[in-house]
This record gives sequence, C-alpha cells and structure tokens, in this order.
Amino acid sequence: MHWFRIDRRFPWLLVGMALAVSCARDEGLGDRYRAERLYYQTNKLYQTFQIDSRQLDAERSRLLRESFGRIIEEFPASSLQPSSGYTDDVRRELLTITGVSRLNIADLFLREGQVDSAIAAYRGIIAEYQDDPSIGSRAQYSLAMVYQGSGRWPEAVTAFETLLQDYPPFQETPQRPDENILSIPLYVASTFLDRGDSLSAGEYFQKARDYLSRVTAQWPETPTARLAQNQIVNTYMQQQRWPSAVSALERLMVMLEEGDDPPDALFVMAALYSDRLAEPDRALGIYEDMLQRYPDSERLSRALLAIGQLYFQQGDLPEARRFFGRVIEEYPQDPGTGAAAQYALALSYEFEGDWDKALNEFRWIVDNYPGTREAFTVPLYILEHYRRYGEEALAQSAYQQALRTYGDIVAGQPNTPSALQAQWHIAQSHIMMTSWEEAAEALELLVQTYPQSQQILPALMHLGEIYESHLDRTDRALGTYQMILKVAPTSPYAGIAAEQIDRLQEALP
Amino acid sequence: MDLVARINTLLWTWIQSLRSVKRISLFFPFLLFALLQFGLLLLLIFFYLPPLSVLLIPLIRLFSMEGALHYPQFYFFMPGLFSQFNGWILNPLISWLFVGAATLMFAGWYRGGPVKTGPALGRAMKRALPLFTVGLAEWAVIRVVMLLFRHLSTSVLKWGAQSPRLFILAGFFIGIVFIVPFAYTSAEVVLRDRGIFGALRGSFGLARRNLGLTYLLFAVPSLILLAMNLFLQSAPIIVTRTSPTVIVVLLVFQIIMTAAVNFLIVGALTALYLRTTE
Repeated sequence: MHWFRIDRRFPWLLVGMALAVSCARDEGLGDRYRAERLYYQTNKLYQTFQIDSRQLDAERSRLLRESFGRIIEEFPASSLQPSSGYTDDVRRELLTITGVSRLNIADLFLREGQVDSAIAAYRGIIAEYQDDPSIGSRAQYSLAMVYQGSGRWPEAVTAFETLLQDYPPFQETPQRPDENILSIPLYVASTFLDRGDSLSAGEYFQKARDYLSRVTAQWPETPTARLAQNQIVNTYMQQQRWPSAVSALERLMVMLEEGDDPPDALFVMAALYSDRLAEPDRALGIYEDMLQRYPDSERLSRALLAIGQLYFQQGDLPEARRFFGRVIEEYPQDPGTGAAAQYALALSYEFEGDWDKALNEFRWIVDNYPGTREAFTVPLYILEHYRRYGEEALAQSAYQQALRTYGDIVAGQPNTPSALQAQWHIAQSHIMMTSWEEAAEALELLVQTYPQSQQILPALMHLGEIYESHLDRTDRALGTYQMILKVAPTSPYAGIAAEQIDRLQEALP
Repeated sequence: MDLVARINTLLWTWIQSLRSVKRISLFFPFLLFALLQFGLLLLLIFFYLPPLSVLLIPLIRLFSMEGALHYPQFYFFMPGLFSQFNGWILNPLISWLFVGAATLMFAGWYRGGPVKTGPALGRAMKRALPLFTVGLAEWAVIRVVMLLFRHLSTSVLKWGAQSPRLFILAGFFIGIVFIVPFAYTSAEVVLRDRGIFGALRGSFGLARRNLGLTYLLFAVPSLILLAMNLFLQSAPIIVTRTSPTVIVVLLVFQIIMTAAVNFLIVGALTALYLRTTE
C-alpha cells in the first residue's frame, strides 16, 4: 500500500520538529511541578515530626535540612528574579516554595538547638526574599521570636520594630489583614509589662497606638484598619485606661459595617461601663439600644442576660429575674446563655433567702442544661451552701449526690476534659467534707490519669498539703512536692514546692 | 437459539478463550499494546520534563484543568488523564492494528494453524485502511454517544454531576450497547477480507443475530475494568492517605488487567465468529 511507504524527508521533518519543541518554553510550569514534587515529599515527612517531635533526632533533622536544601539548590533565589523568564504567577509560586523550604530549614536548626544557625538562616531569607513579603515577614517574625526565646529581648524588640517598619500589615491587600503583624505592637508592650518594666511598657503602648493609628489613617474603611483600631482598644484595656478604651471603642463602632447582629465592641463597651467605670446606667442604655436596633439577632440573649445581671447588682431582683426569664424562654437554642441565666435566677432566690426556690432552680440547670459549665458546678455549690450554713444532714446528702453526679461523668466520658473536671470536683467534694483519705485518693487518681493536664500542679499542691496537714504522712507529702519540681521546674508552683520541701526536711528527725 | 443454548454458547466462547491462555504468543498483540500504554503512562509521569512539557502541558490543560499541573494534584487527575489520552490518541490511532492481529492469531489457533505475531501484524497492516476506518467509526460513535449521555445526565437530568460513580456505571452499560454492532468488524476485515462497508454490514448483521450474547461477551469481563475505574475515582483520597505512587501502581495494574480482559474478549469474539460463520 503506497501510502505506507515512508517519505525520505520524513525523518528530517521529525528532527526539525524536535528542535523546535526543545527551543520552546513551557512558561516554567515544568520547573514549578518539579519544585512542588521535591517539596511535597520532604514536607510530608517534616510534618510528621512536627506532630511528634520526639521522633526527630539530630540525624533525621540533618537529612530533612539537606532535602529542603536540594530544593533551594535547584531553584536559588537569584534565579527567581523578574527577569528569569518565568511568568509572574510561576515565579511567585517558586519563591513561596523555596522560601518556605528555607523557613523549615531554619526551624529545624532551632529544634536541634543551633540557635545561631537558625538566626543566620532567617537573616538570609530576609535579605533574599525582599520580593516576597509573606516569606520575608515570616522570617522577620521568627527571627524576633528566636531572639526572645534565647533571652535577647532588646534584639527581639528591634526585630519586631523592623517587621512593622518593613512589611505591610496585610497579605497582598488591605482587605486581608495580617493578624500576626497587627498584634505585634501590643505583644511587645505587654511583654515589657510582664517583665515588670512598666516604664518601657508605657512607652511601647504609646508606640503601638501611634503605629496602629497610622495604619487606620493610611488604609481607612478596610478590615486592616478595623483590626488595627481593635488593637488600639486592647492597648488601653491592657493599661486599664478604661475611659480611653471606651473612646477607642466608639471610634471602632464608627468603622464597623452595619450588620444584623450587635458587634462585640458594643458588648465590650457596655461591660466597661458596668464593671470598670461604675456607670451601670450607661451600660443599661447600650444594652437597651441593642434590643431596639437588632430585634432579631440571636446575640440578644447575651444582652438580656447582661441587663438582668445589672439589675441583680443594683439589688432589683424581681426585675433581674424578669430578664433572666426572657433569656430562658426566648432563646432555648442558646443553652450556654440559658444556663447562665438560670444560674443567676437561682442565685437571686438564694440572695433573697428563699433557698428552696433556689435549689429548685439549681436542679433545673442540671436536668435541662447538662454539659454546661453551670450544670457542672451546681452539685458542689449546693454542698458548699449546706456546709456554710452548718446543715450537716443535708450536706451529707448533697455530698453523696455530688459524688454520684461527678462519678457518672468520669465513668461515662473517660479521658475527656469533662472527666478531668469531674475528677477535680470529686476531690473538692471530699475536701469540703474533710474526708481526707478519699480526697487524697481522688487527687492521686487525677494525677495518674491526666499527667499532662493543666490541673496537675494545683492537684499536686492540694495533695501535698493534705498528706502533710491532715494525714500526717510527711513522706508522701515530700514525694508529692518533689514531683512538682520534676514536672514543672520553672513554674511558680515549683518555688512554693521547694520551700515546702526545705521546711519538711528541716523538721525531719 | 433458545436461552439455554445461548448461555451454553457464551460459556463455550469464554472457555475457548481461556484455553488459549496456554499459547503464550497469543498474548503478544495485547502485550505490545500494553507496552505502548506503559509508554504513555511514563510520558504522563514525566510530563514536566523538557521537551515533553512543551507538548504535554497544553494537552493536560485541554483534557483536564490548570490544577492538574501541580504536584500532587496531578495524581488526582491522572486516572482521568490516562483514560483521555488512551481514548483520544492510542485507541483510535493504533488499537485496530493489535485487535486485527490478535483476531488473526486466535483464528489460526482455533483452526489448528500457525500463530505467529509477525505475520499477523503484517497481514493486519495490509488491511490497515479498512481496519482503521471501521475502528475510527466505532470510536466516533462511542464518543458522540458518551458526549450526548454526559450532556443529558448533567444538564437535563442533573444527576451526573452529583453522582460521578452512577454516571460511570450507567455510561458503561450504555456504551457497550453501541460497541456491540462493531464487535465483529475486525474479524470481517482480516478473516473474510471484507471492505469497510462490507465489514460494517456483516458485523451489524452478526451482532443483531447474537445481540445478547455479544453484549454479555463484552460486558461481563469488562466489569473488572469498571470496578477499577470506579475505585480510581477516589484518586484524591488515595493520594492524600497514601502517596501519589500508589496511583501509578494502580494504573499499571489497570493496564495489565485491560490486556487480560481484551485477550478474553477478542478470543471469545473470534471463537463465536468462527462458530457462526464457518
């Protein structure tokens, strides 16, 4: 069949096509794929070590660093300039991949304890990724945190200031604020305060406000400006300058877009008036205005609860109960606020001396708002009431009920935060009834079952005190205090535990 | 033929085909085609390397979407891409050659004659024009039917997009209906030297007389491939939970299974053709 005979020119045609194809470009998409492939394979392993850092030894860390390093060797920052021939999108993606790889290398240095190498790595990223603010800002932030972590606070402050100066407080556009950057001015000032340097704290709170004010002026009517103004409010709150905080909130309210729900800023303002400025009438005015302006909002349950609490504080208990009742009736879909309203309702009866009604309302919480914080505290509160008023028989009954209630939670939801709290409450119940053996047993169980919980240190302190003061078991007390030193050697509890150990050891024969 | 006779005939065709397994050379046309598919798979895996990237990136964009050009997202789309490249390039351009050669070899085996791959391929090449044309006709009909089906199920009935698996299942059974008339075209061309229209007429007539048999002959072995296809719809989950390499392994397995299923089908079709025409 003649059409199957191959023309002599056909091979040359193929060669020509091959040459043409090899001279053509793929817009850098092939390179981008290659970089993504290298990154994905290394990063998958890196992420498993981020979840469980115990498996990351020095050798594995070095191998990971080398693996990330290969990406950077293949695609050095110098090859990713605007003149590289890549399209803008591809160039940016490659910068991100290589930049994140370098950040991961720096992080690995840090995990290995090579702080100087980490610092050098971050500095290198900052210098070479000026075209990519998202990478540069992360490196600058990390550098500041490394300085802070290694006790070089003045250098950390300088690094934070450079971050604010050199990088915008948003990601690409003011419509996408960078919350990390915007939180830094307040963070620096608060850290000075935590370190006890109130003079510098004052200076930096003012610097924070100056910076944040510039942001609101430069990018008005944007989410970035709103977040900046919110941070200004926080600076005043941290300094406990309540009138200034209210003024800043008023400016924030002007910036916020009108919605169907009352903004958090209004609630904060009202709380400041009632709790800090002793102006409950102004707080009441804000809440009542909320009821008018946002009649259909689900958040009004909070406003009604707050109004009820204001009346409670003023001693107008019937009026308070009217608002608590409205929360319960009108917002059954909000059990959190409902339970709080119900609890306040019960307290209002107790304050009037009508314990029977109060008890009824407390029991209503346990039956109708299970799982809420209020329901959790009710059994212990009832026990505490009877103990306070010397009603031993009723206290005994409440004690047994509390143990049953909390015991059911421990049995039904083992190894959960609820079970941990329930176990703590069991111990508290025993303590309240001066059943010291049972209290010690309950606390020992808590310590064994939840060794990583935040409750561990208070539990150990209580346990030590019970062994020492109520069970006369100095040896067990010593062991408990020593455990505190082992578990949290730098915590405030460790100092107290150390003093207790010294005291007990001196008293030993 | 009554129902029992038809079932017996169906089973007989498969038994004939399965008995042919002991003649290794009968696998060669399918293995050669599988090698081409392996080659295609390799091309896809390394699409990003120049100069392949210049050719393949636009094709991947055409058959899929921009997201497929990222790693590991490429492997989410890989089963579909492989199927598209197979369906639009390998199948219409070259599968007719191997099916024609295989038909000749199976006929030789059933008749007790020679079963050599080289001469079979050469003979199929000599009949290239009719083989290619009837193959192209079948391919075109299936493409149009599937396009119409996709349009009908997504735009009109609106369940195709919501349930990809149901769409594939329905498409499978409907597609075979339109493959059946063309089932015997290769045999008509290479075994009876028919031209394009003669082969089509002969195949349509034979298929009409053995409609249910031919349908089941295709459908039953192909269920294995359908199951694989449905499983590979979960490519994103497979990649995320294991690794992209698993998709490649699955596709290699699919190529091997396709060769085996095609062996069974061509062997059975040739046996039935010879039985009904000789």
